[in-house]
Amino acid sequence: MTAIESSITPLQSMENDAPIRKPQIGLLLIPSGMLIGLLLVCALVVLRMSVGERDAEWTGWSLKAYVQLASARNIGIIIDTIWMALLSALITTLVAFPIALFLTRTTSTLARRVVLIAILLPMIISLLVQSFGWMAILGPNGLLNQAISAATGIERPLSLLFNRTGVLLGLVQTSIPLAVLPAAAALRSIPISLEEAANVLGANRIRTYRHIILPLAWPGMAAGAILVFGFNTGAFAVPLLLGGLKVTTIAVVIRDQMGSLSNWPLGAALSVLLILLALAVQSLNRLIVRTNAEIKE
Amino acid sequence: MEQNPVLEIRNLSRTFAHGAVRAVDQIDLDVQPGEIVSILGPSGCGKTTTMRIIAGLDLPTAGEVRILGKNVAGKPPHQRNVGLVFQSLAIFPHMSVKQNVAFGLRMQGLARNLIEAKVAKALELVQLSPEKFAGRRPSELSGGQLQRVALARTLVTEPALVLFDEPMAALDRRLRDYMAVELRSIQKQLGLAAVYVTHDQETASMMSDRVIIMNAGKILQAGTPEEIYETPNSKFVSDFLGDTNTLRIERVLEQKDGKSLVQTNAGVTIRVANSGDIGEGAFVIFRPEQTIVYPADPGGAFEGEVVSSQFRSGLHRWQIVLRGGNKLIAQSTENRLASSAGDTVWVTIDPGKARIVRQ
Amino acid sequence: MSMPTATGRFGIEWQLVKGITCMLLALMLAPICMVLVISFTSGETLQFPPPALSLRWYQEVWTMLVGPDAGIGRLRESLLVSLEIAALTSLVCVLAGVPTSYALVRYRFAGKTVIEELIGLPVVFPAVVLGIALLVLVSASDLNFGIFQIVAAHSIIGLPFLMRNCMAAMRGIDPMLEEAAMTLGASAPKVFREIVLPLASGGIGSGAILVFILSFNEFTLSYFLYSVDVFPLSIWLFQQANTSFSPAVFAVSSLIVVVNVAAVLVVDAVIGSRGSAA
Repeated sequence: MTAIESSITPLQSMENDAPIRKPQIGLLLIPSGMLIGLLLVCALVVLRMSVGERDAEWTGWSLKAYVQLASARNIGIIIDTIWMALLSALITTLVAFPIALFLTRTTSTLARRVVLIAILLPMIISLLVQSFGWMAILGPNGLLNQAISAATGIERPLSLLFNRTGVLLGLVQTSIPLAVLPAAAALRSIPISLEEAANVLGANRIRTYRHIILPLAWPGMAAGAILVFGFNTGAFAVPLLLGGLKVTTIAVVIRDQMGSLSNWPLGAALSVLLILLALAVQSLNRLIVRTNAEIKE
Repeated sequence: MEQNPVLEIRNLSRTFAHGAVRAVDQIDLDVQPGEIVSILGPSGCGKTTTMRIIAGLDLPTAGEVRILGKNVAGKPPHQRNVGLVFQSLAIFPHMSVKQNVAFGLRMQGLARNLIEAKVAKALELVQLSPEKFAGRRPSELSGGQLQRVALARTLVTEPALVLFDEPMAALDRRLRDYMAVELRSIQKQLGLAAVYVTHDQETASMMSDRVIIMNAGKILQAGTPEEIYETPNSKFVSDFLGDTNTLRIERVLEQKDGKSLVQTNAGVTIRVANSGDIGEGAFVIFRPEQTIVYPADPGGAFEGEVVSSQFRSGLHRWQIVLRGGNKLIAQSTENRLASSAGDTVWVTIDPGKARIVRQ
Repeated sequence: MSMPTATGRFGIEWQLVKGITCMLLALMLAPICMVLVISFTSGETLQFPPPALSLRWYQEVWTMLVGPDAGIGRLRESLLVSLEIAALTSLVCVLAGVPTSYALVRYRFAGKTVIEELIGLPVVFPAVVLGIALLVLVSASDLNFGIFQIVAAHSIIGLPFLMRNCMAAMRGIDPMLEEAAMTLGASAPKVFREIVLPLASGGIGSGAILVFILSFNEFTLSYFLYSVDVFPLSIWLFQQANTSFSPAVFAVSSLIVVVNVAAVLVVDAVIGSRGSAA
C-alpha cells in the first residue's frame, strides 16, 4: 500500500514534483480489496491442492493430478466442454446478429427497451425457474412432444431434454445478452452513410452486408462470441439442470471429484484449467477490443 | 495607518513534468484590503494555476502564499477562508438555489435561522428575490441568474479573499459588461479583496484596481489598467491590451530628457515619449487612436495607401499600408477624409504617446 | 440523434429483421411464459394448456408461506434467507465498491490498471471453482459463518456489476463541483457525503438493485455453500425439481419472475433517465 500511496497525484495536476496532499487512497481500496483478495486466495487454494497428494492436499506434493488430466476420459470431457462452449458461442452469435440489427436500427425507444429487457431476463431469472419451463415444453410429456404425437401418433417421439440439445439450448438462451450488446455497439458505430454509399455505388443489400456491415461489425461480434465461450466453458447450472446425468462438463466433473469421488487434487487441477481458460478468454477479448479501438482511431 | 495585505504571494513557482514545464515561474503578488487585482493573460499563461494554488486546490513547488499574514502552506482548501467563483460556476445541480447558497454556512455549522437570514440577504445582494428564486432548481435558471447564485454562494461565507476564474466567460458581451459593473459595485459596497483571473482585457479593465499581465508563467507588467494601457513595457503587453501599431527601430538618433528620437524602418523619424537602453530589435509602438490621418502631406508624416476603411460604434478606422510596406491601423472619432481604398494619405503619430519597447 | 434513413429500415429486409427478432425473443422467453401460464392451472399436473384457469396454487403458496404449517415446507424460511442474503450482498457491495469506484474515477496512482483488472476478474472467474474453494476454506476453518459464506461469495461476483454502474455515474460528476464544495468549507469526507454520494446515487442504486437480483437468483455458489440452516430459495427450487413437482412450484417461480421483472424495470428507468439527461 505504501508504494501506491507515495505516487498518488491529484487528477488534474498531472505529475507533481512538490510534496502533495495525499488522500487516503489505500483506505478507499481496502474494502473491495478484501473481496478480491478472498477470490485470489480461492485461486491459490485450488492451485495448491492441485499439486497436492490425494488425502494430503495441504502437505504432500505431486503432479499426479495433472497426469490424470491427460487420461482419455478427462481429455474427452475437456474437449466436450470446449466443443459445447464453442458451439453455443457460434449459435449465440448468429442469433444475436438480427437482434443487434434490430436494436441499432429501430427508431422506437420503447421497442429498444422492450427488446433489451427481453434478452436480459433469460440471463437474470433463476435458471431453475426456466428449467421448469423447458421441462414443460421439451420434457417427455411436454408441449412439443404432445403436439408431435398428436400429429403422428408416435409415443414420446423426441427426446430434447436431458441431453446435449437441451444443454445447448440453455447455454444459448442464458448468454444471449453477452453477444447482443457488443454486436449492437459495433453495428451502431457503422455510419449509415457508408451503407448508403454502397447502395449508391450499386451494391445490392446482400453485397452491402458482405462487404460493409459484416467486416465492420465483426470485432464486436467476435468479442461477444469470446465472452459467451468463456462464460460457457465454466457452465455448471445449465448442464446440471437441463442435462440430466448424461451431459458432463468440466465444472460438473469438478463437483464430482471434489465431492462424492473425493479426488481433490484432480478436481483442483481441473479448476486450475478452468481458471486458465477464463484468463485466456479475458486476454483475448481485451486484445480484440484494443486492436479495434486502435483501428477506429 | 497602513493595513496588512490580504494576500501576499512570494516567489511562487509551480512546475510540471519534473521541472520541464514551468506553469508559474517565481511570481510575487500582493492584494490589499478592498482591492480587486486582475490577472490577465492568454490561456496557458499560468493564471489559473496561480489561482488554484491560492485556493489550495493545487500546491506550489516553491514559494509562499500568505493570507491575512498567515502562511497557508499545508492548509486544505476548506480551511483557507478563500472563496472561489468557478468558470463553470459549479452550481450543485442536486440542490435548490437556497441550498446552494446555504452550503458554505452549513459547513461552518451555523444555526438554521441564522443561515436562513444570511441566505436571504445574500440573494438580495445579487438581486435575486429570495421569495422568487430560493426554491428553484439550477436547471430552471438562466446563465446570468446562475452567475448570481454562484456569486451569492461564495460571498455569503464572508471569505477574506474572493477568487474569480473567468466566471463571465460564457456570457455574451452585453451581459458580461453589465455583470462586471454590478460585481464591481458589490465589491466596493462590501470592501472585498479579490483576484479576478481572465483573458478578457476589457472586463479586467472595467473591474480592477490593478492589472497584472502574465505570460509563460511570469508577470510581465503590473499597474492600474490606465497605466498599463498607456505605458506598456513590451510589445506583448501592448498587443494583449488592444490593437497596436508596431514599427521596427533602425537607429536611435537622440535621447534627451527621457524622450527619444528614432529612425524607423518606415523611413521616417519619430519622436517618442520615453527613452532607455533598448538594445537590438526594438520597436516603436502606438495605438490606432494615437495617429492623425491627413489627405495631404502636413510635413514629416508617413505616406501610405488606404487598403480599407470601416465605421463601427462611432469610430472610423483605416487600414493603411505605408511606403516601406509596414501596415498600420488609424482610428478617429471624426471622418477626416472621404478616402476610400486606393487613396494616398499621410499619417502622423502623437509624439507624447508613442513609446519604444524592447523586443 | 441522426435522422432515420431508408437504409435497412424498410422493405423485406426490415420485415425479416423484425420477424426474426420477434421469433427469437419469443423462443427466449418461452420457458418463462410457460411457467407463468401453468402456474394458473386448475389441475393437479403440469399439463399444457391447463384445463382451466384458477388461483388455487397461489392460495396454496400463500398457505405455504403464512399458514400454520409454514415451517414444514421451508418455503418461507428459504424466501426470507434469500432476501436476507441478497440485501446483505447489496450492502456489502455498496460499502466495498463505492469508495473504490471513487478512487479509480478521481485519482491516478501506481498500480491503478492492475486494480482495474482485478476488479473485473470475478466476471470471468468460474463460479464452480469459487464455490468449491470457498467451501474448502470454510471447512478448513471449522467455523460456522452462517449466511455470511454465501454473502461473501455473492459479494465477490456482484462487486464488478455494482462498480460498473457506480463508476459510470461518478465519471459524470464535474470535479469542479467537488472543488467548489471544498472552497466553501467542506472537508473531504463532507464533499463525499454532500456532493459525490447524492450525485452518484442513481448509479449506486441501480447497481445495488442489480446485485440484489443477481444474488437472489444465483444458484451455483449457493449450491456449494448452503447448509441445513441456510437454505436459499434457489436451493429450495432445486430440491423441489428433484422431488415433488406440483404446480405450486410454478406459482412460486412466477412470483420470482414478477419480482425480477419489476426490479429490471426499476434499473432500466434509473439508467434510462440518466442516459437521456446526458
